[in-house]
Amino acid sequence: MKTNLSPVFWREIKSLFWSPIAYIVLGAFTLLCSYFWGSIVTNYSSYSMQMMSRGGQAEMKLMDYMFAPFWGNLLVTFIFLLPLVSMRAFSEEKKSGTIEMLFTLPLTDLDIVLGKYLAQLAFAGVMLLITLAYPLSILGLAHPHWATVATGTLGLALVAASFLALGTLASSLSENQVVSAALGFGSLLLLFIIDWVAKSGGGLLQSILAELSVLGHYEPLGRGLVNLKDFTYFAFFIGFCLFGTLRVLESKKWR
Amino acid sequence: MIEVQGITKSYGAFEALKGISFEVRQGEILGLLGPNGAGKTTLMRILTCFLPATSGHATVAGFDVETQSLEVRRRLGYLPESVPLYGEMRVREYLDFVGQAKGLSTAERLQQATLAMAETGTDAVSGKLIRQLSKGYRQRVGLAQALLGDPEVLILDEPTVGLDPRQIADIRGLIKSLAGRRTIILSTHILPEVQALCSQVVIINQGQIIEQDSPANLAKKLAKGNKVLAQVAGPQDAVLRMLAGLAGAQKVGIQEDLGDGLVSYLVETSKEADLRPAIAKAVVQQGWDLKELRFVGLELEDVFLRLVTREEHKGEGEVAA
Repeated sequence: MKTNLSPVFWREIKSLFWSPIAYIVLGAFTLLCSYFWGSIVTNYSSYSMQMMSRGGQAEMKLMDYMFAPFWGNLLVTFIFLLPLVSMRAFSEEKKSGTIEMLFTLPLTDLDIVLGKYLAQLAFAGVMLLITLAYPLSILGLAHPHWATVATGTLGLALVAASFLALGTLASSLSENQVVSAALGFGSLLLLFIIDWVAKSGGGLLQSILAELSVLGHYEPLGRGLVNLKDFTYFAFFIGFCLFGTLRVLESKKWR
Repeated sequence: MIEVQGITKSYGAFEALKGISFEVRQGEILGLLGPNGAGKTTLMRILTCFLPATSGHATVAGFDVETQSLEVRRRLGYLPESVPLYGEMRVREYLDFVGQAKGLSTAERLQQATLAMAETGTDAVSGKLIRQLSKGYRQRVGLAQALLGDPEVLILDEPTVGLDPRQIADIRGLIKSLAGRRTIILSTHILPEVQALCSQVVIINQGQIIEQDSPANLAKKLAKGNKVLAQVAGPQDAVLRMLAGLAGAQKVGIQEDLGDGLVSYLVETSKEADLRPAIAKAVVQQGWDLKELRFVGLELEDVFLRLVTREEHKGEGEVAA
């Protein structure tokens, strides 16, 4: 079957960048990134100076002391910011009634869902480009392990893609953008709590939760470890959310 | 071109449509007439594949709206009731999006959007944001997007609502010019619109078809007899006596006294009789002046009111029984 994603994709991109939300999210994200990076760099330099004055090992691993906490903080900001990007997807169309126009055009439901989702991914791509500026800023001063920067950024991208897929599903459930954002935000928070519980012990429940945790599957990538298992997890997570979105849209029609 | 067979639609316990069937031939304009809440919009949403019917079948251009929805939508231009448009887009940008979604090439989009904007008179606002447009312009942009892709079938839900009289005339002219090439269903609760545009009328009330015919036949069907209006300047009593004395006259009355001895008389006759020649002859014989002589047809508005109220009375009767 021939797909026709591009009209919805481009319309969505335009409408995203037309709304103030896009700029608020990008602005807040850049500000937070700069703050995190600044404080991490300050801590790192004072800490390594202390180490040297004590005659200890001067070389602290950049990856462990700078990139891991930096990315960890960014994941938390994703919880707050990404639902703001995905909340519009279907809620706005429902509220304004444009969904009637959209669904009577000769586009499949899949064209519409993927078109909207890919536009959000493109937006997340802009956010990830911003995060890359920080490792580049220490170029010449230190030698980060670029392969790990790549896998770590890929990990961030996969987490962002998962969060946006969940947010899209939330958006298909309500015609109120605030409700959609809250729903997305709430379920993402739940995913973080799963991770805390998973790390709380070594029982069966914990090991099951560890398999379900988004963070648990991100961490190996953050350390430069590439496992097929983690990719499969993210693929399933995204696929499940988008499939759910399709079903919700379909069921709404049958009411 | 469009076939609707026994369509029903229930929202929970509420039955919005209770078995609607009709057919529209190629090139016809069918008017769906009914009070607000009669089920017109629901029916149109079923025909445009936005809502599924609870039971029954409908085909548009030979394709089933349920199983071949994409094929139906490729041949369809739809103007929804509230004209929901993306306010943050510019008119040309929006038309380009719809053209793209309808699978048109870049050259086709440019050509068809330009044509549609010229036809609907929106070329002057092509660079404006849709949210800044007046209701009338939004309506026309809605119509312009429906025309893109040169669809065989147009479904227009209340296309002239909210427009000023001149815009209404423009849009009606446009719709009329589109017929023939395209098959059109339009809904309205404005009767003159149906009389002006449609070759077929389907009157819906409370989810049921209560009448279906051409506008002219419908008016005829409901007229129990004919009425002749005659404006005569002459002695009132004598004129009344003369009119009442004519063969076939059932009821004679004065409609309006226009002054200076000029009076409008209304003569009701049986359906078949045409009293006009007899009246003219008699007036001339008496030496009176005849200023006007014509049939008074039953306007569709009366038909509509009569049908809808008749149905409502029936409903009340059932409740009482």
